[in-house]
Amino acid sequence: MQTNRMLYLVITIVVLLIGNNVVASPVVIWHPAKIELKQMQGTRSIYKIIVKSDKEFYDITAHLVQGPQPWVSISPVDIEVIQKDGNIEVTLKIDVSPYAIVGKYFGTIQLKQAIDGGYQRVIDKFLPITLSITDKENNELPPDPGEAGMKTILGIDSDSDGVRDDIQRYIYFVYPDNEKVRMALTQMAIEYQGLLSEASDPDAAFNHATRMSRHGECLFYILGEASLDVRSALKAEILNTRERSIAFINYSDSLAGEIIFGTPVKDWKNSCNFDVDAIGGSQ
Amino acid sequence: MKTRVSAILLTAMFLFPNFAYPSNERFCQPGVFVFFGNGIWNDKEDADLSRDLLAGRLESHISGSDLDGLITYATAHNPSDGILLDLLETFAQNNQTGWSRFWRFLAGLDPIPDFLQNKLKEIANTIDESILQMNPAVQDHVEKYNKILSEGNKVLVLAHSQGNLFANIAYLGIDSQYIDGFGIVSVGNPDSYVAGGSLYTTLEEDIIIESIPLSLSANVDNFFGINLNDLTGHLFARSYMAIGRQAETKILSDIESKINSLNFPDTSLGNGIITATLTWGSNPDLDLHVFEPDGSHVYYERRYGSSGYLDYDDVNGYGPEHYYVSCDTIEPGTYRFGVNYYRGRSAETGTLSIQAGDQIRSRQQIFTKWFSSSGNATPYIMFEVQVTGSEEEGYEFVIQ
Repeated sequence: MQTNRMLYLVITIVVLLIGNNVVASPVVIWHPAKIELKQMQGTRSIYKIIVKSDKEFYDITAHLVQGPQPWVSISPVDIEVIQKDGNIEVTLKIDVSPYAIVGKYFGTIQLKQAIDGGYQRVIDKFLPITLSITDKENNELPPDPGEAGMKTILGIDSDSDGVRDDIQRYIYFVYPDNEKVRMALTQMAIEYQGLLSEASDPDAAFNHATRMSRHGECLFYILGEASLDVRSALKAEILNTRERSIAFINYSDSLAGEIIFGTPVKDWKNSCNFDVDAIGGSQ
Repeated sequence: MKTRVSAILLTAMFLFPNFAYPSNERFCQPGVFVFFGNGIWNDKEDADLSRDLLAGRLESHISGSDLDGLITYATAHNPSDGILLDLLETFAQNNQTGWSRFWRFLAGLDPIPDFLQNKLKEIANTIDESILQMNPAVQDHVEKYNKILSEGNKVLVLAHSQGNLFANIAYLGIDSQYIDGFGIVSVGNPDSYVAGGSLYTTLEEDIIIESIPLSLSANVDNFFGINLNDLTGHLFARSYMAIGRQAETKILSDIESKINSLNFPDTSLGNGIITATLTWGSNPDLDLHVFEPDGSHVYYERRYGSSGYLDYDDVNGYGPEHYYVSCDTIEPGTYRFGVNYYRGRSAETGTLSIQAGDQIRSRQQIFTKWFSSSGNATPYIMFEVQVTGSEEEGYEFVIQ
């Protein structure tokens, strides 16, 4: 009785594994084993890959799943046969529109084989593909951190550029046409990261406050009085959790009694720590 | 992969912790310092916004006048004294969790809801001078105002909201010999007076000040009705400095006339790109010691250094002792500032204020034992000022 049960169990597992293509799954090999593409808005390119198989396959179709789909097409899509030990060249055409949203898109290229009943099964293994769309200045946005980005005071800075990912995206999407403003707000956002992390250290707070004053003057030079609302809106966006708000209040209060000098209005251009004249955009 | 923008900026910020400005030379001659004194629910950023707005408008207003190019603007930062946290709690208690909105409400970017308006009124009616007079921020400001005045400058505080309470208290601490060089222009004043003067602007539309029974009565009808940009009628930028309105004109004129009515203090203390002022209590003698970048030790026995000069030495109590480095003798390197308790009867508190270019800091230290001349070689170091740059490109300063 016990032996019969064990035999039944083993047979069941084997059947399940075969059904899921784990044991008997045919394997194709991609060259390269993964694709990481970087493409600027409004540009096109072609990328070739090779797929090789140790077995013959018929009635194959190539698919791009998720992520970069809108901008990447595969040719050929229908592959009549892949010979055993043969190579098939697959071409990727990348065509990123000028209005594509800057960011990083993840997907896979899969080969599917027609099976009885009109179904298709995925041939192991698929090819991971990442497409990074950059803007004309070759900038690139990190993904939206979502709720995960709100769990700590400093949030997520996945590209280690000193700016929280959500704020990096905010600056880009709210001021897409003015690089000067983006530069000025970015220097402020970097400063906010510093002051929030050292909110209760009066000496550090003073240094952050002094630099923040310069950043504000820089933005004022670029935008005039309109900069005041822009600054306030950035602050509100950055202080989007209770913890961040409290840290900022601590920072502000640790400056009690301090005096922060402004620079002369005629010198506010020099308050920018980038070359304002070398960048396009309104002023 | 890093973005180009922030990578460049991040690198620049690490390489250049502060900024270099040839315009720091303005500190080497007597001038006028206009401070913006913020209210208690304005944070440091709000105060800076107001300072910059004021600077832009006032510079246009005085263009071509004798004051043109003479004014340095600054924020005299007043703390929230727990009020911002209270407001944050009020926000949360009203089932609000979109924390960005809290800051948008306070900045006037979104119409402020009734529950926050009511809380602001409640706070405005509970905070008065008696509550704020023990706040250490007031004494800090007084030290710095006195230092700036003692070097021959005029000081004007443009006080907004509860910044008036701080300014009125500070007025009492101004050294009597400099009081003619110190003035206040008041905006949205919750207090019943303006110390040392009478120039104030309160809007008919300011519902915060209107709710305070003893405050000065409104004297400007700025909008002839409600200001949709600021339902409280109290915000400095959105209500009081609304462009082209009567209040803006009055405030700028008040500042100009007040500055012109002040006197440059008659003082023997020198101006400089770096200055240090030591004050203390009734014990006879604390000594200021400065170690200059080339190792020169400046103190009462050797008052001239390679780049600076101890132009005032006091041995009768209270100070000041004063040292300055003029714009044409400054040297890159580190200046170290120390204090030796030379002679006294009891523990003494020394206050050392340092101005280096566009930065000013004050610290206090309690000295429990006096050392006479045996302490000259090893004074207690209270500040280090790092100077980098050159005469052509300007100098940058880090006070530590």
